[in-house]
Amino acid sequence: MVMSLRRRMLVFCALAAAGASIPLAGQGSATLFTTKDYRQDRDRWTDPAYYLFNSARELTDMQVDNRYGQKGKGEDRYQIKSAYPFTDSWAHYQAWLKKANGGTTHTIATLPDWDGKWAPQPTWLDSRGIQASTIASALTLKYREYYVQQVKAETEGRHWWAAAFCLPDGFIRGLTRAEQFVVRPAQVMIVSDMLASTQVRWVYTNAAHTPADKQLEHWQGESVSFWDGHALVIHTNAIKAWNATHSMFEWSDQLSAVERYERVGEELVGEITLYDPAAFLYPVHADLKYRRNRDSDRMVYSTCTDTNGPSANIFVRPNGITDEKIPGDPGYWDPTDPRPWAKHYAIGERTPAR
Amino acid sequence: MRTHRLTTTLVIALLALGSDVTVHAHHSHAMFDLTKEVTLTGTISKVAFRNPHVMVFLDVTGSDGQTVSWTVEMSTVENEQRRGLFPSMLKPGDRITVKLNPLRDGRPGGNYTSLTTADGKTFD
Repeated sequence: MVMSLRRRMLVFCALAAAGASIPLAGQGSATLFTTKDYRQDRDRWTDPAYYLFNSARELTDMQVDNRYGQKGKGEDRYQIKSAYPFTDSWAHYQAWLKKANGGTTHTIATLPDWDGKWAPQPTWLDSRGIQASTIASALTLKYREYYVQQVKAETEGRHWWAAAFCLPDGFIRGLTRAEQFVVRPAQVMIVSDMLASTQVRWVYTNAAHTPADKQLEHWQGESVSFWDGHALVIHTNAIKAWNATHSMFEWSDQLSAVERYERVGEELVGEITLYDPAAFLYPVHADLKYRRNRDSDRMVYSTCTDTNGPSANIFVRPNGITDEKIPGDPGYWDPTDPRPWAKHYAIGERTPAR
Repeated sequence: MRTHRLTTTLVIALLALGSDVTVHAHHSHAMFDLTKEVTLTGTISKVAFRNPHVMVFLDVTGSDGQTVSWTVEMSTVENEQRRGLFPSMLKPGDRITVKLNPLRDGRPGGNYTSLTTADGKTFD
């Protein structure tokens, strides 16, 4: 989606008022791959041609796929601007609560059957099938610049992925990995064991948020919910500001969300609307879907450190490229050591603390 | 391109299995040279069949008689099990063959593209 002339003029005026440097004539044909300074290309950041029509995922994989600077497939399958009339998440949640006549109170016998293991299905939040320009268009100028900086780094193989360093993936990537929905009358637990670490999200039913002056930011936020019949509606706030990476976007500590999930046959059909006035120009929306996992009904308890070590084996080189240690490298963590503490104790015995 | 072939193979394999699982990468593969593939035959010294990566440590003796320990990075436990590979099939002392994209800087490690176990079964 290309920025309208009116919008370009508004951005131009805002930049001029802020004393920012304005893109000069002649830079209009620059692409992310030819630019000398991406910060000077503001008027191109929302143009799919700037990214050579690559999807976010194509840009992320560009360096490792050895197709740096090549044209993408032009996939842009999603409308991400929310169609709902709400400008804040709480109004959205309250409107749906009112529509549900205050919500449904369930006993354990009347709750829907969401047992089993579910497999997340594709969504634009996992960076596939969406143009980078579409994402950039939804972001405020500040977060758009963060975004282009990230995308440029990823195209050059300078990936910074939280899980690689044993940090939590955060709220947005967590959404794309939910596998179990443990439904109880007072809460729903959403569990994921995909890849880096086992994660749990607690969703409290018919409960209030912690008062704002006592809230603590969480990786998965604080979620309250109500049942609308057999559909679960969730409001989440207190989400830690973080980065979805993978040529996606950063969000601020103002992010909040409204979700809705309902079982339809062998699928859990969901949606999420994200509100963040600092990061988004407008609320953004994604459909979410989970299918019965036919491969397995068992979870695998995972911690990122199982093979990566305590944030040691995976590291970043000075040039921004992620690398890994192997046996013999200084600081290598041996994932096959069954008693790693014994080595730790032995070091202390050789070098007394006092 | 090899990566595309590998991805295509994986997608086809998942479809054949009727899988509904989306495959995610855990860390960047920018440290691996995906334009090169090295074939190694050696003896397993250790295995970490764990997330986020299954790791196999392989002693490979070269034509000069020197033995080098290679670090072979595989996919997640879930992905390997879906392909039919389980811990009992990779034991220290087993002689296996691995094809991998090596680390760009020449250290003896890489990301596997296929592994043939002691009894001749290939996983990729």
